[in-house]
Amino acid sequence: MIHGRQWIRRLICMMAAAAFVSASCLASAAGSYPTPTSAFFVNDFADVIDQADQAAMQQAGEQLYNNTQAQVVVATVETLDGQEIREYGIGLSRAWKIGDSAGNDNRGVLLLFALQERQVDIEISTGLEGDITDGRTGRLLDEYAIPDFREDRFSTGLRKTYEQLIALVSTVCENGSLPEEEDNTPTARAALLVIAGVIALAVFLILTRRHRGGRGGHGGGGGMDDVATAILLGSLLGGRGRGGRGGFGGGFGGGGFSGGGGGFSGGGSSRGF
Amino acid sequence: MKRKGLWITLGVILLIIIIIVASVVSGYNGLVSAEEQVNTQKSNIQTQLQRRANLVPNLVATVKGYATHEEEIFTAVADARAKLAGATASGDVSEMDAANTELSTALSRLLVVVENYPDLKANQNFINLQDELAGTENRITVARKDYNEAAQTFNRKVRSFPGNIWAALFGFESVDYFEASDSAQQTPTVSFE
Repeated sequence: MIHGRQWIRRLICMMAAAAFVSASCLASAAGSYPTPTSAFFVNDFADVIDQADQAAMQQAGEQLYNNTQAQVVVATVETLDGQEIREYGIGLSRAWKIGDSAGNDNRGVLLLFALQERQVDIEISTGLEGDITDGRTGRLLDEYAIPDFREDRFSTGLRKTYEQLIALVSTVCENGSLPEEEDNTPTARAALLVIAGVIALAVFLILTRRHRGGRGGHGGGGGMDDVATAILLGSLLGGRGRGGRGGFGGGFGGGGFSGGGGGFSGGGSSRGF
Repeated sequence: MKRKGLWITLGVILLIIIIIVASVVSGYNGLVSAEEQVNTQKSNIQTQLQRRANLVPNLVATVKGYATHEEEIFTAVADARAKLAGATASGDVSEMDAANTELSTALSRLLVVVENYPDLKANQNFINLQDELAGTENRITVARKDYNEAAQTFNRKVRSFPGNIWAALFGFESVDYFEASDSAQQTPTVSFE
């Protein structure tokens, strides 16, 4: 029996250690993404896009954003630091909260280019993936990016692909053929739970307070109630805070749950060239 | 004087009751929302697994048009697909896990065969299906990661104090993780060298 217990304890310890390691890995992975440039739509960290193309893309991106609130972002990096390009792409999209601003229904696109790995990736957010399918993005890369990339004309290839993406997104937005978003349900449910909890608590507090008041406020009674209120609110807020932090010192900061209901779920496609 | 003492005692008891009730309520709600998160993520995985299972017959049909004498592999893929569809419907995490890995193995054999047919590799319909399948596999990877994070948060709440008290009281049990073998974790990249 003692042996069995020790085993379980050891197992739990190991699992906790594994969880901690994976959590800290996640934290470091989330921290390794570059911060977006002030231009936001064009982030040429690998220095492969020439001035004219950059200006054209930035202008097209801003125009689309002003018209439709959708965000199409291009990022070029020197290296993916050993990550899979799709993994890096979704990490970056979530970290930058592309297409996650209020009122745009999760409409965002990331065009990611990795110089050293010679790979390119398109990530489509949940609000667009119903219309811009994986097959569609794959074809787009085949037609507009790969031919130029093979000849090392990265700037031209990226501009062409970016323009095509802008055209696709603006067509989708104008036709309004976007599918119903169901991604907001978990957040909405959690919010409802919190609100319900607060209301129940408030009702409870008011009832108890009235009860006490009706009996003719005795000396220490009021103070007692205030202390109870403080403790209650404190424990409630404390509980919520704990949930948000995720236990491991903010390890899950950029983990997708924090944003407005997911945003990116892995739609899109990638190519080597 | 006696009455005052009675009131203080009553007040203290009430305070203790309030604290207990509040912590039960917040503990219970915390567990519920964490479990809800786990369920949401699990249904995301199921959706994507289902989509994968639905895409496979189309892919096989396209390959069949070019490679007619590979019956053995087609059968293996069809069996693995049927198993995945069954496991997805059952909703058992470890079953889904195993069936998904099995389908990955069968599919990788199919894609090896494809290498021998250049015409097939250049077929637009085939490329499209490949992209859809790769995208679905990527979504499974993402959904699995999100599920495991949610499961970890939930399991931590269930196991740690005082959550374990409420968990035992209200019958919450820790959930399985969705772990994939290394081969299944690699999302295939479509490359035309």
